[in-house]
Amino acid sequence: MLRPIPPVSWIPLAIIWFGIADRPAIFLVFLGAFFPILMNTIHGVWTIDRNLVRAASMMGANERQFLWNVVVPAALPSIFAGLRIAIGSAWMLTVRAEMVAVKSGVGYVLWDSYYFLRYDMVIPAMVSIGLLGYLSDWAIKGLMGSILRWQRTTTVQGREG
Amino acid sequence: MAEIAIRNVTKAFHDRARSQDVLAVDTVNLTIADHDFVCLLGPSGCGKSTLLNMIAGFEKPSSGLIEVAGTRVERPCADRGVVFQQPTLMPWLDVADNVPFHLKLKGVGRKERRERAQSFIDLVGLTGFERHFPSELSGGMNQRVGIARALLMNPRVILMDEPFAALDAQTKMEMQEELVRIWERIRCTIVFVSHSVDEALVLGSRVAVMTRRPGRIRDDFAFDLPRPRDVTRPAFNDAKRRVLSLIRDEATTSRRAA
Ligand SMILES: Nc1ncnc2c1ncn2[C@@H]1O[C@H](COP(=O)(O)OP(=O)(O)O)[C@@H](O)[C@H]1O
Ligand SMILES: [Mg+2]
Repeated sequence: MLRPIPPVSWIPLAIIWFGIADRPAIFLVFLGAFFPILMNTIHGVWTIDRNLVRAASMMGANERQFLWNVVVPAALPSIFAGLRIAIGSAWMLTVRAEMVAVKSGVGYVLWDSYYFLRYDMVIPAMVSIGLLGYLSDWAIKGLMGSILRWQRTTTVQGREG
Repeated sequence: MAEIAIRNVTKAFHDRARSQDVLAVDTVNLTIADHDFVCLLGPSGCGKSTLLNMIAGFEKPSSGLIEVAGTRVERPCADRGVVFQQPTLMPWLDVADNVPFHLKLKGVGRKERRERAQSFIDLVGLTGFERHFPSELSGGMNQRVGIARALLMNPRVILMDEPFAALDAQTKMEMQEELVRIWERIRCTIVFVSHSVDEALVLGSRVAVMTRRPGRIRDDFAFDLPRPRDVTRPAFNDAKRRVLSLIRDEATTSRRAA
């Protein structure tokens, strides 16, 4: 029910609830990151191969072992896909929230320099926002690559490197 | 002693597309002795997999009873190893971790797991591929991993559902010979589903021929041609002729009925 409401439209409410500080930003980032991860995890769990389930039960897996040894690793690629979307949208929301509700951060610097007509500051602020976003995505990609090692040979991405 | 007893087993599925019940397996009675290598032979769609899944405990009979070693089958259990048609290995584990997966579930440490798996990896001819993931191996190699996994469980019964159907002729022949050698060595009971008359007669110490859906056991005979079996021998051809005429008979009766 809450999912179709874009996280940015929560900004006014977040400020009313949490005031002008870090907390509305944290709330927004949580909203923006939570649903992509949740939806992707659910998708990952629903699309597990039924025969994998049978294979595990044939080998005597109980429910808990089943969760940790089959469901979690099988859903990991989807969870990571969700995480990547979440990091991107979290970063977008951080900047957005800093522009409006927080008195610090690159978003604040960007908005402030626009406000005071300091165009020499606008471009560097934008570049640092882009750079930080790129770095966080790069980090999550690296983590994905090292954890999902088993996917490397079958995917297009794997064939590159 | 009867290792597997199948008594009056019937399985009906609900066909949602036609909103009616479809009988997949119809009053099957079959007693399988210890150390038998039974081939369930029948056309595709006749209920072979359904019957095998019920022995495995993946599905419950609509009526009737299945017993393995004297106890009623209620759910899957590690005393019945299953080799699936598509190799169902854990994609995130390498060969040396996939083969001893059930030991991991039992809480055996990684070092001991790998040690105990090694002899079975050697047995199916995958020495040197321990660190490979399933996606890095061919279909035939993955199927070998699946067989090694089932063998390491040291089950009383191994259930195999057309495990070689997707392989090329050459690999299939090698794997069949290997399976017979393994069975002669460890002497477990094997139920092997197949739609190929040749395969059933090359492998089975007993062959059960099923009818078209709903699957019934049409004929069931012991087949003790010495091994390795020569598919060009008269005795092999006699048996083949017998099975083929059974199948042909049935095809004409079902056409007449239709
Ligand atoms: N889960 C199911 N739901 C409905 N019908 C099924 C299901 N599984 C199998 N059947 C039907 O039962 C029949 C036998 O299937 P199966 O045992 O897979 O045949 P085989 O393995 O001999 O090719 C088929 O007609 C199939 O459509
Ligand atoms: Mg089948």
